[in-house]
Amino acid sequence: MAGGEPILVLEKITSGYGKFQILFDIDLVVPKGQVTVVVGPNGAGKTTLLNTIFGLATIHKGSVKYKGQDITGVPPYARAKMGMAYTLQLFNIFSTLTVRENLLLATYDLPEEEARKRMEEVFQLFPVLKERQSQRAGTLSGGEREMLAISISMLRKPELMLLDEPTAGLAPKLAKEVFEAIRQLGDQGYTIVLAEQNAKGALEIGDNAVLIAGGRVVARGRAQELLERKDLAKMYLGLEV
Amino acid sequence: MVEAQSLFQALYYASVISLLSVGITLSYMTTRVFNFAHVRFAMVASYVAATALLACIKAAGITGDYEFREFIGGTLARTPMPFWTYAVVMIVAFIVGGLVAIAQFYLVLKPLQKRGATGLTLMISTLGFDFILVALLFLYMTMPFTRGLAGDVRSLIGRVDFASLKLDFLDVVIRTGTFTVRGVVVLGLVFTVVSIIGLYLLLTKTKLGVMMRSSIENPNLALVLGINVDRVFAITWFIAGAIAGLAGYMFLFGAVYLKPLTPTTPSDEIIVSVFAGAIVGGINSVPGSIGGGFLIGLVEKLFVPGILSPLVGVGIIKYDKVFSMLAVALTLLFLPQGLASLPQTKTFQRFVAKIRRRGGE
Repeated sequence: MAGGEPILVLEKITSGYGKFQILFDIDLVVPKGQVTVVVGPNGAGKTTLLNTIFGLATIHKGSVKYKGQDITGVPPYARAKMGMAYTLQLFNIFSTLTVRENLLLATYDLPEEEARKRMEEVFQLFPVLKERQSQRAGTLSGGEREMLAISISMLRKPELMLLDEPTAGLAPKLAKEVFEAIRQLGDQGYTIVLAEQNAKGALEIGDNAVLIAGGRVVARGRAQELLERKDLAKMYLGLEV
Repeated sequence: MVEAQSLFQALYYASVISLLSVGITLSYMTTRVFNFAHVRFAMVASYVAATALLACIKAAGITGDYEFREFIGGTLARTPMPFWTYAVVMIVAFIVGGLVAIAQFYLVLKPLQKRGATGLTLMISTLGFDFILVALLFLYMTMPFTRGLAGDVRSLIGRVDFASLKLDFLDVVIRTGTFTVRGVVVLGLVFTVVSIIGLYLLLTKTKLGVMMRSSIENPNLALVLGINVDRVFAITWFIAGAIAGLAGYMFLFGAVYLKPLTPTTPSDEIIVSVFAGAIVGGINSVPGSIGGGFLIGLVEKLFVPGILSPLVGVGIIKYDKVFSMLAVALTLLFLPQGLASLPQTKTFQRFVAKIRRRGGE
């Protein structure tokens, strides 16, 4: 896979949940400072791949290396402390907590001064969250919830961001804006692994890409190259050729 | 008219049920398991605290009465032991209750969860842990150390038997004019109020509390944010067990209201009421379960004997638990989330709006 120095390496991973295996013999290299897109049909195992990277799935075989260190058995909370962040597709905010409490949780292990500084940065980016600080997150609108979910990840200033279908359920115009924002983050030097159902939109903004189907890697390469491969587009991605 | 002593008994009982119900709720919220061993935490705490109490008596060679007139103003509080002994024993009960809960969490529930045990398996495992605790308590009271200690203390103050502990004669007696109340009744109310305020402040005003609430609502998201969810849950279990330990401390001096302490009593009699309190109050609500427990306690020991029995005969008192079960059935039918969810119901909101309109007229 093209790109710079690898920050994350998956070797021969077979994983799933409990006894159930969903991914088989997955190899993946995520270069630092680039956007790596994971695409594939529904049920291919995209979310399981992200869960595997973050330690939320059961690894049956293989290893996960992060910044050269084997983290296969490291629990998820420890991975978060190592600089990884994960925005879940669903239930990505604490709806019974206030907006402020949600943001505080993302910075709970930082010195108070640093936490306050980062929170102010978020409020500058999303002023509406500042207005709604004392409101329960469950009462926010759909768009505001997404802002809060992204803010939670951003507050941790991660070295590796995992995004699981951030455009799911969004109107096409809004989805386009989200893809542009992800590209901007990539240009700023963030390392991102983006799992997306919307293959076209994701491949257009990605640097590298992996296509998975039935729990196995079917193709990999530069995102643009995959987008241009007509056989894959029609068979796996549901794109018009 | 309810007599003062009956009222005190009801308040004592309601406090015990309330303190235990909140623990059932805390453990259910974190692991989604009804913990049948929870009430036994209080028994273990009682027995260990009793040992500590007797050790204190032996160490201090206590024989006479102590007065706390200066300590609590004009009210006279007479006790057979110095104040520090009560404080030490209470702390012992609190810590022991918490430690037993943590032991169950780490030695039974976590290993089973790691092996993919279902909710039913976990629930049955709590019953197994309960049996183990009963067996350990039977062993404990026959150990040479505890028997020896009880014998030594009997020579000092008499009336101590570990097989059936009845230490209510060691309770503080508070007297104001002609009015007399047992210390354990006051203590029960203090424990309940302190638990409500303490848990409220912990859950809403501290970082740990926010972490507890977030881990309960969405453990995966909490993990993703770097929160050690297992540790947060273990702390929650410790708190649940420690509060049960306070109820166990109350058992020590409550034989006059409940039964003398044995490895199976009074826990086997009250477990039904404790679960009823947690469900009626709201199994997902901490303040709800405290209120629910208190309500169930008052229904069983105040409403049934004080109000219902004069109307239908004293025979009804034997069936006081039927009313707790009835309350559970009605709650599950009409308000499955318990009384704590009442403010969210449309009927309640309409009722409040109506009152407000009338107030405005």
